[in-house]
Amino acid sequence: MHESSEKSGRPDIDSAGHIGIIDYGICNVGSVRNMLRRSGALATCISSPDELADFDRIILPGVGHFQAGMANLANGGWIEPIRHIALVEKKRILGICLGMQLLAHHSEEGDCEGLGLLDMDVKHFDRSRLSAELPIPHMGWSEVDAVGAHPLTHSEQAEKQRFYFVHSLHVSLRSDGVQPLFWCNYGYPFIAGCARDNIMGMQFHPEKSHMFGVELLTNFARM
Amino acid sequence: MRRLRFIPVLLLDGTSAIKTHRFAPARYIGDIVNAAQIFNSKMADELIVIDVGVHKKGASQPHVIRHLAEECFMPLAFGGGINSVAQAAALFKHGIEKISINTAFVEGGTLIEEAAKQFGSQSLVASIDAKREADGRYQVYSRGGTRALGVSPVEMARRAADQGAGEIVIQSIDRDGMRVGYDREMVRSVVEATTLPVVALGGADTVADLARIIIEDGASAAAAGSMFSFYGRLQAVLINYPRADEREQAVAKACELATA
Repeated sequence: MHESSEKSGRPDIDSAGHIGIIDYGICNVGSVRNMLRRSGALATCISSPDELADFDRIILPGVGHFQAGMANLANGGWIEPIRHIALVEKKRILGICLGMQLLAHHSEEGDCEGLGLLDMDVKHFDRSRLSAELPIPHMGWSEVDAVGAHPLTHSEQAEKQRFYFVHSLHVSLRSDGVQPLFWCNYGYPFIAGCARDNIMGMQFHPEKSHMFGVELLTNFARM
Repeated sequence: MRRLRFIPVLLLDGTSAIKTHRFAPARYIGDIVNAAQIFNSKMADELIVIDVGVHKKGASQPHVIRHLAEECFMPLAFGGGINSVAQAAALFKHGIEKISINTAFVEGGTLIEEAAKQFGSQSLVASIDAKREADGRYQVYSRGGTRALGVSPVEMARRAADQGAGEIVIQSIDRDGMRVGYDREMVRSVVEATTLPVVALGGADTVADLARIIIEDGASAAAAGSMFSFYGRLQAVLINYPRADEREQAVAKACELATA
């Protein structure tokens, strides 16, 4: 249905290897897998840290409460293995929505420590900077501004990139070691996507963002 | 930067999509997965699926729900007969983004509160069905519009916020399937009573109705069943969704009316 542009052609995908999607019992991993498969990428949901070794690209999805997310990662024995593949083995890892926030040092949601893979914190939307008619959570499609040059943000769509968001908190960078990839505006500008080397995060849901998401996940599969 | 949300609603009965008139089953639309695929190919903003067959036939088959989630590269909300956290957890596992809770909420249950703690508010939709009564007041009904509760939608919206819902769908029972326009007075009263996003449902007939309920009345999104399922003077079954240019025109016109 969304077989799209020439850049998502199969030869590239086949050489890109296999993507492991971490299933730590907190959310739907099926839709991420389905969109990757529709884009022609090989993708498998993994429910044990031992399986991380089989993949050269990892996606950490997630919805819900930060503390519940960290608790599930801890209970499944994921925390050290994820840190190891990201920091030592330098495998490409993409956090989506709560998965992006979990890459941070700390979140205000539950006053909880994160994986500490990206030098940033997670903060509630600042209600005082939002006009009264803007509800929290920020839920819905929003356009984003891609900044800098990064393979993940590359788009060949005629329309401006837009993605589906559902969140009450957003990341705030601690240092300029982390590169913003997408800015979004909800009352004020916040970082919708960022990266440092092999570690990347997206606040929105590419798997629920039609062709814009297909394109982004295809970029991840190819980079 | 924020886009207006226009949301098709499909009613599930077994494996079929049907459409109701004032909450009574009226017409067969087609296979539910096929209908969802068409909305997907038309890049609908979101999709709401409500299982209306649940009361007589039991919960829908997990494989139908999984298949629906697989076909949707857009947010998918599912509702109908959900009355436990375990049921909610299973739906999220199947790939549903949001669950819509009606009877288990409006009859005084605490399911939204319990589920919000576990899954977060953003995934919980409080669904409120209401009728305009003979005296002009609005009253909430449960169980597919069959049981009057003696509570106003405004009061119910406040309870939804207190319980930790992330969104409210306010549906007009008397306008369901009628295509006479939204009950704007009711929608506005709920919008004013809460800071939660409010989705209007029931009565929409044109793209202009969708745009106006958001821009003029403050709804966060506009949902509809019939107008996305039927087409033309004879109301033939045809899954449809406004094109980008139709949306833009309607939005521009609604902005004009709002500032006039």
